[in-house]
Amino acid sequence: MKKTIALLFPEENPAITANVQRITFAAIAQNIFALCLLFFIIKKFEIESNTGINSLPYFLIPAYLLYAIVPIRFKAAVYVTLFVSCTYFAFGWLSGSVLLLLLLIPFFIFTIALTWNYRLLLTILFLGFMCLLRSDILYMPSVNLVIPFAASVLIFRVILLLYESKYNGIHNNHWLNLAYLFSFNHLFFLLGPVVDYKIFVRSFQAVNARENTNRAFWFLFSGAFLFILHRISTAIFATDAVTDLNTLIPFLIGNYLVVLKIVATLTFAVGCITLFGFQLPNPFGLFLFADSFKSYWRKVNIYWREFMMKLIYYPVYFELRKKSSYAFFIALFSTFIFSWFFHWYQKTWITGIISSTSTDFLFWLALGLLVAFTSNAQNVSVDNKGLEKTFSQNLLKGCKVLLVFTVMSVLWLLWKSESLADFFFILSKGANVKLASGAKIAGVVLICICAFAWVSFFVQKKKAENLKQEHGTYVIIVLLSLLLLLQYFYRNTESPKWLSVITMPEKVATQEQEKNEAGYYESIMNTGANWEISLKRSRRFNSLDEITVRTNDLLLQKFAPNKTLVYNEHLITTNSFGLRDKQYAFAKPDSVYRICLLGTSYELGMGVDDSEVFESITEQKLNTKNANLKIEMLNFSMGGYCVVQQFELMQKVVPSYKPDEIILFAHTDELRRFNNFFCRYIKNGTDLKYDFLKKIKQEAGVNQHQSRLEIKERLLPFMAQITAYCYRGIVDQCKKQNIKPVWVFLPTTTDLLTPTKINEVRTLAVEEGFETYVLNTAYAHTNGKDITMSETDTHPNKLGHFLIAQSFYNLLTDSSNHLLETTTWTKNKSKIQ
Amino acid sequence: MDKEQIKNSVRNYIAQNIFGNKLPNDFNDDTALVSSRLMDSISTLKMINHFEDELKIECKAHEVTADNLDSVNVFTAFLLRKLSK
Repeated sequence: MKKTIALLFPEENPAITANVQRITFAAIAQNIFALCLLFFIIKKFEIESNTGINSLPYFLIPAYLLYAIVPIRFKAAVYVTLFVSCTYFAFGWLSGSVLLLLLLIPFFIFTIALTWNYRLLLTILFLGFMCLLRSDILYMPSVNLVIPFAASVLIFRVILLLYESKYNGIHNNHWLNLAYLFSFNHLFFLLGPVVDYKIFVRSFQAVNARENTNRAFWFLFSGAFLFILHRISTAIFATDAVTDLNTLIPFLIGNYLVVLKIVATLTFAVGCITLFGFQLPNPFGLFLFADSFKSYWRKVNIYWREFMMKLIYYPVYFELRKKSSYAFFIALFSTFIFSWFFHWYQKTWITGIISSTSTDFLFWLALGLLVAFTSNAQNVSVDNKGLEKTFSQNLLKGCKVLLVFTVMSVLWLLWKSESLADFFFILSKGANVKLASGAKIAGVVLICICAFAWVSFFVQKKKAENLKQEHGTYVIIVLLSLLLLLQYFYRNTESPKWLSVITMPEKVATQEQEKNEAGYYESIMNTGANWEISLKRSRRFNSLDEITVRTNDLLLQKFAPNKTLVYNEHLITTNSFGLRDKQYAFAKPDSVYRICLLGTSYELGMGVDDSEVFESITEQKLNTKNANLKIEMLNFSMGGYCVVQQFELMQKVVPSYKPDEIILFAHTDELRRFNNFFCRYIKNGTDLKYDFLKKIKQEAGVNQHQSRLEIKERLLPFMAQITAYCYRGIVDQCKKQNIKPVWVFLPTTTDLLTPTKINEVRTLAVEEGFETYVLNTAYAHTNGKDITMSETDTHPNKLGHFLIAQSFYNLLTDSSNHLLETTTWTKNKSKIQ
Repeated sequence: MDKEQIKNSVRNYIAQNIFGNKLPNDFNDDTALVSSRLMDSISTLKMINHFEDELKIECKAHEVTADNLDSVNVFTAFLLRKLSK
């Protein structure tokens, strides 16, 4: 037994062992307290709560305790055990085992005695197999869902392992090799640092425990702080529309500061690994304050830079240095082109979608050119760290920092833009500048440069670089604690948004999810955020396309009749009319009061079974409570429908069903959603059919070839007008057909309702002749999380629909509303009685 | 060239090309150059090129690591290894 243990856990090199200072129990207790505080802060601020990070302390804290007390030779095994337990907790036995197996395959490829060529061949075969799984060609649900996680760990690590096995060899401690592949931060963040193999295995227990733990806490707390800072910056620089230079600047800054979230994610991940004895370097320098593009490239994502240098830059340079005098330039430039390729490779693996935009490529091309040219210009590396700068030199540096920051903000916008047309359209807004606002901007810029120069001057005078890292950790802990106190004592719905992100994170976190901004990193992060939904999926992911029919008219799509589909585990059945509803007789019986519902995905019941849709529950309840009366509710709702489709349905379809009443549902942000939707008509080149729509297209000056952003901006002022027109058309049709027109506002599950939000469209509905009602008590006294599908899909769940049904039933049966009483129906009712 | 001569040559090169002729007072033969980011990739490669020409040796791309270049002592040892091959 002793021999087996000795084989499994060989003693480390005594030189390394001697370097490790035993940690005291007092220090362990202090660290456990710090971890509890960290996760308390993460929970209270709802930091990345959709990733499952809140469950991590249940594993991480006991694992850390065990790690701290076991002898050194068992420590790497504790790290591996932590990964295994987290995997089984997150994925269950079957999928968890599959994930572990997928990670063990490269472990065996690189640890058993094979020639490098065989390792290469087996790695390619393995990645090919993973590719088949990722593309769903090989369909095994329990396997497919773990592929993004396995991919996020492996896609770069196998490349580094191939490199190391070719040139330097693989370490003989297999626990360390396993630990390299069992990177548990990837279980909650799909985006992780590309940790170099050699640095990883060598750094294990390379410094004494206290120093390493201090570094880990610095990374963990500053990661948490940066997540909050990202939220605050997003709120401060939030811009509804870019109209001139005044709005373009905050828009660019807000856009660029998404990097804070990336920095936070990678820093936190590095902190998690460092806590277990791997002394990893800081993943980022102060790149936001870089004064040259070369310095920017040196400081932004240092791990990535090292990876690219190793794989591309040095090999290309050594290949060309005797053949071309531009070897430096070509090598550096190739590094950026391959950076684009590897980002595409990462995005494809994680999101499962093969796509790349011209803006992706142009971003890397432009950055590559900037770094290559400026690096060639500054070809002598004289580090001025030791030399004190004068205030005027710091002023000059401030100007350079501003220049780099501005160019990077613009490049970041390019990277995030869907198309070049979108990018140029937004930038063109910057030309719109008034003298007064120009002077104001110049003033702010000047103040920023002076402040930067002064702070730099002050910092170098005080020799701040000599401050210990643990002092920085204490400062961050104090700051986070102050924010916690603020959250505890000041919760006010009326406070500005930048304050709400601290004081009411539960509301803002959900709204953030709703936005799901476009962009490279967002797509990767959102894939990670949706993993819980994937886990719940037991069957092949079905697309609604399987039961919908594309149309070449204003409806764009509708349900095919008599279809059944399990969508996100919920049954969707369509009747012979192509409605998600039960079957009714086409001709309305005399004794029936027929209501037609016109709505969107909320009314359609995305995310619940047929019988759980609030329309279905309400109809059943109305008929049960009034046994002598028959009420039919026909659900004409469809996901993504807007007022134009509802107008079209009223012109073409609904009247033939002879309803007594139509109920048109509206939601928060109706005009903005409609704006997005109408843009699709223009981009698709859909025939707008009605003169008033064609006239608006002409007046707005939009066409298919413009960028989406331009189309949306030009159309926005006309949205209320089109809505009013459609409402009028619906009401006119109702009058002709003797149908009662009713308009109901149903808040979305994440709403912080204000009268302005409700009245935005209600006024139009009233003016055009609807009877209007608001279901504002539908979700009263409930927590948003209890009534939504998930944190990323905020459609109402079963409970949500049940609550809406109750509220809707009360609205319909409240006698003061007279909603179920029309002349026709009252006449029928008296006949029955 | 013997070890001391190579070391002096390395020291002189660093003084001239990295610090503008004069080594800082706190600099010693174990001061980290690459891992501390005192030297960037271009200056590292230029230093390799220089000593390749001077000592008539040839380095490979995978040898450009902190293991071989991180300080005067480390780089000297690396050059000696290359010379002995």
